[in-house]
Amino acid sequence: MASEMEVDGAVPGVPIDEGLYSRQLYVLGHEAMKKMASSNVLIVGMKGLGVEIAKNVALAGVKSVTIYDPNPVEIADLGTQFFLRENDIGQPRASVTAPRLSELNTYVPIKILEGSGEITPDMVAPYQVVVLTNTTVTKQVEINEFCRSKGIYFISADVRGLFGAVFNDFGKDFACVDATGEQPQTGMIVQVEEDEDAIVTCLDETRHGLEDGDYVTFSEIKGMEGLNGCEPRKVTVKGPYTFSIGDTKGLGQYVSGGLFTQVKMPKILQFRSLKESLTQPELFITDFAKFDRPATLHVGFLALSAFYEKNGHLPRPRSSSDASAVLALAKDIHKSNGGQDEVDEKIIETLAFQATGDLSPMVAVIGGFVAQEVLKACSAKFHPMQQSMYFDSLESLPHELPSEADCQPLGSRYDGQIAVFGKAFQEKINATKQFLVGSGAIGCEMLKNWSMMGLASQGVIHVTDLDTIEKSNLNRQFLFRPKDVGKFKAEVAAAAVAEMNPELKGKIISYQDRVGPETERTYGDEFFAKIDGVTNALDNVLARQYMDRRCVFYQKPLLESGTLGTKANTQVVIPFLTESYSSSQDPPEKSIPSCTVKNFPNAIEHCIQWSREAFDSLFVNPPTTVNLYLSQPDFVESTLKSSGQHFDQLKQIEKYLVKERPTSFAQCIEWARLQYEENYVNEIRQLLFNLPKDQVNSNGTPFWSGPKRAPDPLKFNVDNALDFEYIVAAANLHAFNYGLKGESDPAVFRKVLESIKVPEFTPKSGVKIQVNENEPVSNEPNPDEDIDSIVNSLPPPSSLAGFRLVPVDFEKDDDSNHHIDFITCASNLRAANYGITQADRHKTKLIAGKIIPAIATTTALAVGLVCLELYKIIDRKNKVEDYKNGFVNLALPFFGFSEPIEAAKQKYGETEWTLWDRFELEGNPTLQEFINWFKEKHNLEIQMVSQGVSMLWSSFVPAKKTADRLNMRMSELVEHVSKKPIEPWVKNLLVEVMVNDENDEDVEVPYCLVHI
Amino acid sequence: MALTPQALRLLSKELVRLRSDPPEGVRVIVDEDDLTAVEGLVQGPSGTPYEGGYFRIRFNFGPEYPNIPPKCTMITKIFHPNMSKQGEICVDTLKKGWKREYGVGHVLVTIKCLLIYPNPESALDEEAGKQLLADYDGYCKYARLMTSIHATPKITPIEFRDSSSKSSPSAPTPIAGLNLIHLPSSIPSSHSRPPNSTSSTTSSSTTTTTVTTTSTKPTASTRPAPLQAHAQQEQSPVMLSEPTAGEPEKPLKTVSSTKTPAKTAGAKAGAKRGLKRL
Repeated sequence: MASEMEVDGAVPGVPIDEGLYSRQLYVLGHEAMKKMASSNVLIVGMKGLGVEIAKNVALAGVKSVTIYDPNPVEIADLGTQFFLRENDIGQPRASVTAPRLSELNTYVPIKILEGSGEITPDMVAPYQVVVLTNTTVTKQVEINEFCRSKGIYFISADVRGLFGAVFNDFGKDFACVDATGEQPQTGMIVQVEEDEDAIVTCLDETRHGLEDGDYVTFSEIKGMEGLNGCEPRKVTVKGPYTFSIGDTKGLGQYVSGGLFTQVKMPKILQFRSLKESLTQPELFITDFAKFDRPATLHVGFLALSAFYEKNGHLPRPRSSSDASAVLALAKDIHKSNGGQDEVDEKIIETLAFQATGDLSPMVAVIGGFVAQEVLKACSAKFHPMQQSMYFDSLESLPHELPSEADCQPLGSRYDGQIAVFGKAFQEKINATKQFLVGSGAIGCEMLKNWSMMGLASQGVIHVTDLDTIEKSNLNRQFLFRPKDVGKFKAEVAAAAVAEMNPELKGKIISYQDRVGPETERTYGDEFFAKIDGVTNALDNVLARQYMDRRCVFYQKPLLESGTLGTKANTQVVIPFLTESYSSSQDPPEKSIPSCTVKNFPNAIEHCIQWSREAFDSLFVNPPTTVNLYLSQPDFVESTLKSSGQHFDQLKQIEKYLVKERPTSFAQCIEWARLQYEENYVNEIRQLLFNLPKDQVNSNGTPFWSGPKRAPDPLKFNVDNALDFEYIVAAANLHAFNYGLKGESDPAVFRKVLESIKVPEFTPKSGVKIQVNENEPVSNEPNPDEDIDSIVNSLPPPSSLAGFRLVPVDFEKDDDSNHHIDFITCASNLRAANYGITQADRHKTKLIAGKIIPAIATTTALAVGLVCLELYKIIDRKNKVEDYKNGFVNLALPFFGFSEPIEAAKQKYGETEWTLWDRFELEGNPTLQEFINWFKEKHNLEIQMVSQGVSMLWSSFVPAKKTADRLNMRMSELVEHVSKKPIEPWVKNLLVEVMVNDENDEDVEVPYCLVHI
Repeated sequence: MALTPQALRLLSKELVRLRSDPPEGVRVIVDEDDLTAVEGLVQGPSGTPYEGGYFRIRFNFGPEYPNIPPKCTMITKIFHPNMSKQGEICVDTLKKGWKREYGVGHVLVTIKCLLIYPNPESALDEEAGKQLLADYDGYCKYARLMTSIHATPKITPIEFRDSSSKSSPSAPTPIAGLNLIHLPSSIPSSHSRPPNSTSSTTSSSTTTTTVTTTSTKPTASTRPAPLQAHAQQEQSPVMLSEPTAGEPEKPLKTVSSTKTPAKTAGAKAGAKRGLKRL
């Protein structure tokens, strides 16, 4: 599998920088990253597409990236090549680009391949992967033939206006080790037949999630032990809970239990050479709405190359004569390829019209895609594209097509864009005013595209991000450098792209705000009146929903996108046309039942959840509570009032402040040791005492069976690494709580551990059963009395003036703070209790830290797609079929596009409405006037009125209260019920009503905007 | 962060409906100045050790409600296998089985059902679970005692004094917002599937669940059968067909909730059955 990749051998002794690559490691894995670290990549052509590929590959981390382009920089290059500056014009592209590329990733040297003229086969020989951009088909075939003979992976790619093309050839036998990148499926089983094609039945709470042709192995089966650890068996899916695995005869009779685990098997792929593919292309479809277009474009791109080779230049913008020459060539090629139908002349003509076009969003889409293909070639991770891809976004053209004259080059950096859209449209782009929310991975890519497009060079970009730059950002947020760590993202990003296109200097306003109700004073009526639209570059659903609401409220278009590993989605929201972001939702998140976490874990996720909760309940919550006790004079009173938990909280304060307060690190070690005993020995023994291993359910089946795994207590062993690491992490965190100095010297720990006497534990005999109901309950303390005695025993806060504990603030990305260490150890010890397969620190961090895997390639592509939609918004297209929402998975690879869904129409009486509609009332009416207005104007009977979380009035409010309220103005009423003043800058209230129509039927109506 | 306006809209509408037309045996307490500070009251079902008690449940709606279930805490002290001493409630509806459409009413009805049919096999309070399995009478006695100490007020809570919502057991009224109550599409059914079952279509329990009770004599020591391995928390009596209250020993039939409308009569009958057996 690894064959050619190891030509140079892996770099020994250089471990992967987990801090830098953290989020990407969760996409690619350590294995793939190691293979990448031994691959040398050559990229030919350093215009926009070349540099986009080089950037993404360098960020991802390979052994080296070499670039080749001796040709001089031209002004038009600056429209997509973000690493070129005006004063580079005339210099060789590769040599001016290399130093800027080098800044992206210190682990990846950027080399310049010396030479002049066109690339030759001997020049590409030393590399494992070769990418050609901006070369003729003849040259591509020549290099491909050579690469094929030498086992070098070959990719060629080009962007022509709104069209892009990619070709892959990874040789005759390419072993892809993981075709999907999805986690292997695993699950519990309840039955395996002993048969020729035995059927396996899963525990029916869970779908197996397998597909035909997947492979599985087994563990923990009782009875049919022969299957445990068996060679991977091929699966045939029989149903959502059943699959067959071939012959199991002679393996014994299945009794109970067992797990299946999917095994990823290498998939061998055959690639055809480019030469063969010219006449018999294997076309990869990117948009099923245009499934016949790739065949046309295949011929079209060949014709463009032929035209270039004949005339020494590409067809000129919107030149009819050049276009008909291309069309003639295309027809010839089509015929000689044995093509049946007529070629789509319109498409060929459009391609010829745009051939000199160069668009940053298209470069981003193709560049992001190709870079991932390079990584696939290096690492064998994920399924390569087979074999020819043609992508277009013709829908992005303005509805009023530019004239030939309008598209001629002006000697400006935007000539590549003007060639496609024309000068008039370029001016519209320049005048755009956008609000970019977020300046992380998506935000950086967005700003790059916008600066290349010249967006806002005559308008404005507002960009906000509350975050500062962290090391793990540098791997994909390519506008940031190591020296920027700690600075505000929006500020650094704005400055970086103003360097890329100086016309944006002073046009980007950066903020450090979180968008939300608390910043509506900044981002309110005035702000929204000054912008054309909003682009989200956010990392969480809540903020997305919030911005979506604001856009609906202010009736502004919204561009939305997100990535998860190799997956990306994009969505366009257009006022009065499409549904909004919040109209559709992801399925609810499935959380783990608390009884599973507390008593019956059966998967490492359950242990990690338990451990993450333990982290809070040991190092975060008690110190916080203690501090509240110490700092709030009426804490006990107010806690008592809120009731429910007061007893536990007071016990906790007593424990942390009095009974177990350490004064030395040794005492922290002791505390950790006893904590170990409590969690992994005593509690398990108590559970087994309550529910012994031979406990049966009332129907006679064993209690501990199926998803309930019987635990075993552990025995502490100082020489067991896991036990020892747990003590180190727990003791250090406990010491942190008390401001004591930490310790890592094993000798210190050993010495203390040896001297600790662990009290013998006897399980409590459980609930005492009262024979007589009048008998007092002995084990139920009288809560009131007990609380008083605890409160009295606590030192009064005044006696500890200034003393505070230090609650731990969970930070997953600091490897020295013991946080993830503790969670990993605690979770693995619990896994040991229950015989569950343990997880390493890396995996634990992913789950406990809820990390979203991320890689630059996906982001680049997603943002490219978003900007292709932005062209349409600038053109004010007003039909749903003009827009496209996208879903992409680079791993498979897969592209899917759909029209946005129209805003759902609802109806009351004869009135149709959508989410974009609302009632508006002027002049701060009284509640009575408000109710009358609905009655008279709309024949609707108000049942309930609410504003925010306040219920202003409802039909069950008593008559007297109602009478009082009817005369209040809406603003007064809101203040009256919410008991809070309305801020002076608030000009209108968003009021929700519940109404009945004339037939006394409950009907849905829009919200109301009440001007006050 | 607070609830989204859509969620608030949904919630306030449901609360108004629950106020004016509450399901049998449950009520909501609505705070006018904060709609999200919801509390529920569940009347201890008759025939259970919780009879005579009123149990207060606090709802905590996170910003992602209803996409993520509310956090529910039992404020009234209770002895129940699926409720911890801290008031956590372990019921599938509030975790894996949560659906956006459920809302407050469904949660309260589910908790009511959990009072009728505890599920000791996924115990949160393993003492109570063990007790129920090993010594059913003892469990009942202790639970009854706890009910009388912590959950039984001297006078009926005001929420339950409204005559309009009282209904006699013999004249069951349909549950308000009936659409809220249905089997989740992916009910975890029993883990002890018959070993000879191979066809996934018949063995998958997405819509149909078999609840069988073995015929036992109504002696003092027998307990309601449906809490056996076949019964899950979700399979609350509201989903059962209507067994006649006078024939508690008759095995319950296979029921598809999608076809059989839920009726309070089922809950009543179930409760009655429990009473007889106790």
